[in-house]
Amino acid sequence: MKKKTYITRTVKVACFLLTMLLTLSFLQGYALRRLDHHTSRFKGYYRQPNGAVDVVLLGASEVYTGFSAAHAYEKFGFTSYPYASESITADGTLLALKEIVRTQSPKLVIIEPNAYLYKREKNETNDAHIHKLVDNVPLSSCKWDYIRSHTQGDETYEYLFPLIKYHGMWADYPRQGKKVLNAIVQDVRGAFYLKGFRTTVGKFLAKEKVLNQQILTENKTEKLNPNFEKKLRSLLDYCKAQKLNVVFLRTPHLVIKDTYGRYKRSCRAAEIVAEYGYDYLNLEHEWDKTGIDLQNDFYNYDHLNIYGTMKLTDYLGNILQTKYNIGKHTFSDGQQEEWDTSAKYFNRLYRHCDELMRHTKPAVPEEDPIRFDEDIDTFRMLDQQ
Amino acid sequence: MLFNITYTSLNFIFFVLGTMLVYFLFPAKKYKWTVLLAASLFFYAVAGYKFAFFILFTTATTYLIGLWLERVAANAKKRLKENKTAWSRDEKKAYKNKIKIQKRLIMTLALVVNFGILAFLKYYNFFAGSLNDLLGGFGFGFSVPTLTLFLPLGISFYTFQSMGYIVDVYREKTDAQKNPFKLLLFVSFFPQIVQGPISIYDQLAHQLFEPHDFDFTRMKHGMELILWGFCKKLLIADRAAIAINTVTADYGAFGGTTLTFTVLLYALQLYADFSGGIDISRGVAEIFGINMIDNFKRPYFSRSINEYWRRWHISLGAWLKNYLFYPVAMSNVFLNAGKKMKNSRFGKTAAGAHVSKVLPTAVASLIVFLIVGIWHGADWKYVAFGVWNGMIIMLSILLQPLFDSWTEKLHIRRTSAWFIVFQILRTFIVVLVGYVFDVAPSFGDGMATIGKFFTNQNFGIFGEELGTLGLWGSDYLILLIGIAVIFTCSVIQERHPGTTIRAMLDQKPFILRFALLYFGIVSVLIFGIYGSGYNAADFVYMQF
Repeated sequence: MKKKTYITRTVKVACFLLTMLLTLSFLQGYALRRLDHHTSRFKGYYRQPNGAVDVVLLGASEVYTGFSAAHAYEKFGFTSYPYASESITADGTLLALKEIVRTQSPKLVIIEPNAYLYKREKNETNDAHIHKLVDNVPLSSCKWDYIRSHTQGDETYEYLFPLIKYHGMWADYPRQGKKVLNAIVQDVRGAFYLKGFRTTVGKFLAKEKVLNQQILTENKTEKLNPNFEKKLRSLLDYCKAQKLNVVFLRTPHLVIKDTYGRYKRSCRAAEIVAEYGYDYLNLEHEWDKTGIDLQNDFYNYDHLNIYGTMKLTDYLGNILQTKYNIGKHTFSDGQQEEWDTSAKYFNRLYRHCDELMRHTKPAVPEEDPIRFDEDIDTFRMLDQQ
Repeated sequence: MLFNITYTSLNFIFFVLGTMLVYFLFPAKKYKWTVLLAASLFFYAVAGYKFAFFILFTTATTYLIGLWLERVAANAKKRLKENKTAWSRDEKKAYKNKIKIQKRLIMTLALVVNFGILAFLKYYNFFAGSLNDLLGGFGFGFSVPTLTLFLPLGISFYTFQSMGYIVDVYREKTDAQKNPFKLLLFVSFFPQIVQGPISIYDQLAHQLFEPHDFDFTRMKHGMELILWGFCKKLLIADRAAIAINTVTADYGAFGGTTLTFTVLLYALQLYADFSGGIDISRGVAEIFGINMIDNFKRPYFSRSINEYWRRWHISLGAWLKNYLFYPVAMSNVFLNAGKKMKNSRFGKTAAGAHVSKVLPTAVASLIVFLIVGIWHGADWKYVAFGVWNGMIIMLSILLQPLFDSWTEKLHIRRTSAWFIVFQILRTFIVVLVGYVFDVAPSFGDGMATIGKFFTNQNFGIFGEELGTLGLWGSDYLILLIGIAVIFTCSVIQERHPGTTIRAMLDQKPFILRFALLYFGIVSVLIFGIYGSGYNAADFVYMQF
């Protein structure tokens, strides 16, 4: 009788704990978490088996809007993936690099140094920008080290159990419901065909004087913020210590008076990177080589539209192939089909964006522009093409 | 605070789980209480290590004076026994009186020292400020300096508890504790240090020192109580606090109807916050096999303000009754005053006979509630809160015959449902008026609010202001559901006073219990006010 009671009680407690665990996983994984293009991008990255990615691009939003892994695959045959989040911080960049080293063995890592070019350090403590990266990194020794060194007190728990931070999102329903559905559909499908790519429809009309012609003929520099220089050197030291094959890439921007300082700091960063023997592809300076059209290829000062993406991907892909010997990927695990499908979807996306933009003139961006990324609406549209 | 270890933090949950593990696996049964002591000291060190000296000092003085009192009593008994035949009756009486005075002096020493520390830390600046205002009013240039003082964690609660022990030893109701560490555990027991309940030594101590083995039902009940506490605190109290804090931050900007609503909300917040905290404390203690006194018995169902104070913060009420009310009401001064009045001309009348009979009780009540008010905080608004409650109780005692005669003349049946509802509402309104002084930033604001109750009611403005209080419609819905759940549980508890809802739930099917626990936990996880997305509030009674 006593034994029976123990067994019954144990089964009941186990059932309850299991139900709670499942509920917590669902709440934390889907229902009450920030679900956006970052979630899809990082999920897509982490489901790639080790060795599946030849080139990883690390950085801020310039990376996932300016480079299409699917298009690069179709044209050059190598596989790549953007490990990037909006306004990534300098500390976040180091965490991201460590994660890349932990999870993949890429032939080349391309680092976009935007995080080190800010004049002030405000971005380093921007909660939203930090969480956009860290929340999407699965728990690992790298993430744990990052959390331990960057948080204290209850904040630590918020990184370990994001539900503590985001449980108030119940107020976002029913809007959040669609995002949850999207995330579930993605996970069920199991493939992330756009490979972390995101684009905004529109041609940008710059209202301020653009200095891109001017900077073509000059190479002025400006000191980095001392802390950012220190962090950049730490990153470079880490690259050296890990014997990583790294290239730095500054994507093209529409440089104006306000961002001219940032441009000059980028030129200084190039000098520092060179000290360590790494290449710095300064396409902000040599933007003309990419064939980018300042009138038609941007959707705002800092980001390219899909026309710009095609040009930058073509240019970069060519360099990677010729200068860095990144050849065609050899598939051994049945992944090729997924990459072929990716290329097919990207082509459809390009055609659709082209249809939307072809006859439009550069304009001031709308408040709520049309965006395409790895969500169900995008794929519903692409499947109808 | 070294790190956040408040009762609603994850750290506290981990801390309790760790303590449970060590306590139940501790091999030396006889010394299991040392695990609780170590945990209590750890908790206190984390939560308020800077002020640990004060609790250690109180424990040390309580310990030594307790032993001293016991030794004096033992020596006296021994001497009386030795001189049983040698001393005359008068000599024995004189000796007993001498010992009584000696013991009283020793007890007074403990009370003065420990309440002195509490009074100094809590009230020095209040009295200095009030004195300076007074001196300034009379044109004196001299002023008493104010000091930067901090209140050690739980000082009110542990001082009351340890001084209760001293009085009990003095009254020879309990033996003095010989082991200073056991006394330290009684004073610092972590589930009760933050906001009580204020336990009586005889009721709590032996439970702390006895070894308790792991008991599934007890752990389940303890966790259910903790969950209920979390629901009250995180779903209701802290949600209501958002609106209350918005109003108190800009008190003068809100109309009378919003202020009325705020006071109502405060009644909800205070009950949910304080009783929720106590539920967490009791639940944690229950897991360790320790039953602590229930501090609340549905106070808003009270039919008189007297009854309200017997149902609200029961342990403080009991403490004050035992150690303050009776000594004051039964003191020679009060008894003689009553007798004098009885023998006066007024005392010969019917009203006079009643007044002279109840006067000691009535005045003692006023004094007790004045102290309750001051205990709540060093501010004139708290004095007003105490005086209001004391005055109502005093008047209700003095005018009882008048009310009885009205009830009789109006042919009101005291047991009728309508009359009971009337009494409950009447008491609730009296309680709310007292709360006005709690909510208002100052005594003046409190008086102004009461004025606004009568002159500034405007539902149109209230509708506009409601949206600016920091809560959404869904928050108000959660509050309403919370009220409905608390009300339902309270009605069940009122109807079944001999048992607990947890014990009743044990008789229900597994699936129902499963669902209730599941929805309780999930509700707290989803709708609770915690984390950086919200600005969760401290327990209200922590400040007292």
